[in-house]
Amino acid sequence: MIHVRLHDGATRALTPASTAADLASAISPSLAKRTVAAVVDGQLADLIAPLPDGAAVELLPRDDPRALELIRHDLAHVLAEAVQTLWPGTKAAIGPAIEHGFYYDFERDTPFTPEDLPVIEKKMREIIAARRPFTREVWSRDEARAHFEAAGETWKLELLDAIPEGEPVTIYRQGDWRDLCRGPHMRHTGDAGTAFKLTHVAGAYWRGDATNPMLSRIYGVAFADQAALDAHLTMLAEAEKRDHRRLGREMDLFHFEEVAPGSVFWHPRGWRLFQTLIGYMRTRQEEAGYVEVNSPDIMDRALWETSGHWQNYRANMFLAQTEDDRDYALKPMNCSGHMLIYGQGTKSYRDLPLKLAEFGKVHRYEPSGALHGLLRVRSFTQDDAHIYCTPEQLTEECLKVNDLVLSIYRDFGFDDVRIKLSTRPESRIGSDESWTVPRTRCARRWRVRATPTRCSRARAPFTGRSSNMSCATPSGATGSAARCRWISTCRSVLGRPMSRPRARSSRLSCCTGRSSARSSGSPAS
Amino acid sequence: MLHRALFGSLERFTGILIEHHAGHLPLWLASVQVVVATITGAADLWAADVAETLREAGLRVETDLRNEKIGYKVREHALKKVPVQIALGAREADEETVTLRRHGAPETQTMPLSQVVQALVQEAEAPGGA
Repeated sequence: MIHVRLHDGATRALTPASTAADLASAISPSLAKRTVAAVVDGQLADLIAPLPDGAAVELLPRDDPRALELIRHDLAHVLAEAVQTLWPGTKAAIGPAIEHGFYYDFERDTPFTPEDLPVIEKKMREIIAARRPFTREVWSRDEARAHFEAAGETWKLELLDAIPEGEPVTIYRQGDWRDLCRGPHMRHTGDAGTAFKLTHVAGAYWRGDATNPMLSRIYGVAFADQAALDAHLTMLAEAEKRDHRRLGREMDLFHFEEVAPGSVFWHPRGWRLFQTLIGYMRTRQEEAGYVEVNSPDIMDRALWETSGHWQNYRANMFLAQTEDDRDYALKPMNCSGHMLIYGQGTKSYRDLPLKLAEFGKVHRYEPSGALHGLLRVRSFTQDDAHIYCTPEQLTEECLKVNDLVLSIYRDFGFDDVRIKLSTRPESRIGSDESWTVPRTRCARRWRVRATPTRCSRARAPFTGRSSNMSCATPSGATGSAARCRWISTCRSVLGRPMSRPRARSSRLSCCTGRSSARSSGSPAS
Repeated sequence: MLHRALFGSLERFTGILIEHHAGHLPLWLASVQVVVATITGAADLWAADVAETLREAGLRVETDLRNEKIGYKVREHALKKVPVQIALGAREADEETVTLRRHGAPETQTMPLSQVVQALVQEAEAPGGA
């Protein structure tokens, strides 16, 4: 006999090689009917796998949230069977469960079109109605290779080769259809249910690598019941109605061109909106004691080498060379320009805090696949500012920035603001006090002031503690957003100490971290 | 030194605003705040007067004097999410009134021009940080 421990703490004796299905039947027939999968020692598992002696077993009904992944994965298999039944010779590549649903990639001479989806869905519903049992078989590598070679499934052969030596090669079968798969799956295709919908097709590179062949991907969404599916489809329809790319077209606000990927062509109505936002921010900043400056878009390589961008961020920068063989770069951030402005003339302790603001256009080379309307672009305008202050002024200035953010967001109707206050990284610069004091005071004040907000933690770059505030859009994109970072000690870009009297240890410092939520690299100081 | 960006990227913030409001931006942000459309050519002069009065009050106004059905004009400006549409026919021209259609409101309202100007100017003011 073997013994297994149940979720409620009870122990049950079973004959050796018993499965979770046997366990459910031994407890009660109604439980056996309800159970579609198991969690064995913390891992989702088939009902048909033999249970190890001493295992902790939890039996899952279909409506358990953890079964949702199985529903989606089962449906991916059903989708692949449907496609290969309808179009024999189509090669199946890979088909996982994903958030809200599933997909499967196929290789085929003519990619699938949206018109194919209803036909495929109908075939899937037939396969589900047939309640074909999922069975699991362990094959030798040679057997598997021979099978997939004979079937011409070249992608499966690649997947087979990627399975590490010593790991079993498992084949899941539903009726006559087989797939190379780690599992687990539920009892039969009927468990997948009918609360699903194929939503769209897309091209997808094998293993997400643009140097590999393009496959044809079919996406579906799936839920445990029709009500949840309907709610999700309604949400998708609403998001589609709100998609800013569609509205931008309908409202005649902007467009994009292939000659400038990720850069906006603003139409008169869009530019008016853009300028209204700048005008609003300009007023708010003037009231808050900022002064506006403007720095060059293109600056010499030497500056970027000093700031560290050349060494650490060049892959994201647009470079330019002139007839006289000088290397320039379009600014990816405004910080260096502000340092040079601050460095002009003598600064007294009495000048602080000095708040330099710029509506600066920055350029960053983002991968083309990451571009998304206005939300992810290659050239954009930052409402950037640097506040030069004494260590004593730091916390108060942080709080002023954060109050300003919350007030501005409120003006735009964003009440659900999430604040992320970064934690202190292992590798960092500056004294412990410079990290701890502002953190403690800001966090305390936020708890009082920043409601309704949600606070959470994020990891700071090594240069200084930062806070991010973001709001959510209905389409699910996290709204951008405000970012504040205090950088108390950095290697200087200019190396000029502040003038007497009472100059503390402050030296001019270079902003180095990511100056917006969206850059993909972080130049060092 | 503190480094900060409040909108972050203005392009991104604009995209988020559009999605947040589903294109129906509040009056102070709308690029075109009011469209003055005629139902008949007989209202053309009154439409020009109305538009001029609204512009002088600081509002962003366009006129639509095309020889099209009013339903067609209304649909077109609704698609562009213009928050206030003013429709002027012979009666409005005679009485020197305006008929107002707000986005989302089921009914139109007819009222004297001065009343409309006052209400819209107040609403179109940029918020000053509550």
